[in-house]
Amino acid sequence: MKLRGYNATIVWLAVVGTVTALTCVAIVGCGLLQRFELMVFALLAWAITNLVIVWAIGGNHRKGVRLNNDAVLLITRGDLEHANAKLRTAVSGVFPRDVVAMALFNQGVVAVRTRDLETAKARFRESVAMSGGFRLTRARGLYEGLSGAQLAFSCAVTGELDEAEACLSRLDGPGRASPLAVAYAARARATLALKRGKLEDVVAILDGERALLRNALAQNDAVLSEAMRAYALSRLGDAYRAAARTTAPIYADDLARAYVRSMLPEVEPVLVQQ
Amino acid sequence: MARHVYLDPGDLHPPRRRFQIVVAWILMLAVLVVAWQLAQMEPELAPLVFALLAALIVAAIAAAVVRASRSTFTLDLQAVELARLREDVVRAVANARAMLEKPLAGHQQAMVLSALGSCAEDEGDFAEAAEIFVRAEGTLRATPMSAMVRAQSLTLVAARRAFAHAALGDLQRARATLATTRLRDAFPSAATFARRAELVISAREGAFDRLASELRASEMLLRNSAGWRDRMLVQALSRVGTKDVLEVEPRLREWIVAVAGPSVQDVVRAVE
Repeated sequence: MKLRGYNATIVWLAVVGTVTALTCVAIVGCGLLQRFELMVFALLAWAITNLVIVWAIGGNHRKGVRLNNDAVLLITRGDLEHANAKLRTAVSGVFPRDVVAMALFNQGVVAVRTRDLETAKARFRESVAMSGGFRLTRARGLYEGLSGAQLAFSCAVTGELDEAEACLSRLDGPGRASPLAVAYAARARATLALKRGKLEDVVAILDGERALLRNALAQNDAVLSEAMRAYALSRLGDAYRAAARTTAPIYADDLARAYVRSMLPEVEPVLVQQ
Repeated sequence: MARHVYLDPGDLHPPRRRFQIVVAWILMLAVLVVAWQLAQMEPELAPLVFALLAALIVAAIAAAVVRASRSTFTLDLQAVELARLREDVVRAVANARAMLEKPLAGHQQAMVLSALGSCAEDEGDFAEAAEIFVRAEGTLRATPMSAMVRAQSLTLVAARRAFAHAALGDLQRARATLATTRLRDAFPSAATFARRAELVISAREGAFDRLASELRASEMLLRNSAGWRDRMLVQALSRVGTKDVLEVEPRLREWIVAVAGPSVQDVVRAVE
């Protein structure tokens, strides 16, 4: 599918600039300067045209955000099919790049939920690409950070460790510091360390961001992080555990257990049935 | 006694946007009148004057957009939220109050106030949280901004405010506030915060059948979107009336009992 995101601020500036230039040409070229009321009329037309442009671009942005918001609410309620339908509309339509990047990120989240990690990786890659480039926006790189961290995690889970590492190395930078992106990145780093057998690193990374992970992540992801830590501690042995850290039982309901099993089956045995 | 000074009356300055809009319009009208007068006096210079005027308008708009895009507001707010979620509330409050020192637009000021209110909520200072959320709502309603931004922020702040009122036992006000959280452009997380407030209202009213049905209805929403603290609160509420005991850290037990009241006292136990 061809993605058709546009840079809303640039489009807006270009259109407003063109309209302003045309108005000036009309005022000067048609001799409106000699007729004050005609000049006022031309300026009014300029102002109204600009308001219509702002309204049109803003309305398009709002439509895309609504599709994403509706989809996120459906995802949290577990209705992934309808969520995907909304997101497909957002991805296939002509919307600002941030809106498309957001929809692609959410499609990746849906794919992770359905254990389709290949699709998830593809959507996260597209979201990173859509978020990047020259931007004039206050929240630069928001979805680049979120999608990059989730891409790193998905790659680590599927054994593409070099790509996971490359994704993580790109995450340090302004605009990519949303708390959720930082939490996802910490979890991706821990997953990468786990896959490389660096169990002490797993514990260090997860302990370093333990408060953030439990406060920022939803249940499935929080359980997965705790399970990784407990698994690493259990493999490191009693001496390390006693000297360094303790671990409480990690309770997981059926959904969280299924999620952990699908992502990192080796850590599932540390879970306790809720 | 609150654990921190979240907000001093001197921290709040009038939002800059309204003042800027008025000044920009006056300037633009003055420039137009001067340009027209010049064109009348020297007709051969008229094309040049208007070309300059057009260039000036486009350059001003472009400069405003570039300046806004270079703003560190989002990064600063993310740093506040990151510190709060890392449970470093002292740093979060200090950073947020420092942000309020800068000239902010109305919705930006409301977002910072909302972050401060969330800090107060996390610390169990619900009276302070409610007061800060009231201020945030006032700013959102009084300042010009896009309808979508207003709706998104209002619902989030109102849902959190309803929770603070409910935790304080002001259930009538909590219910009235909840009624304002159902706007079309609400952030999805506002639904989670609103459900959380509803559950606390039911628990504090002693309406345990209603509480049970609300818990069933919002189970997926809460497990998939609530943070750890709220999930523990929900687990405590779901144990009301059972002999099942939830073991949590002492500070969290204190917070859960402060939120939900005496009905959860016997179902939450503190463990180190």
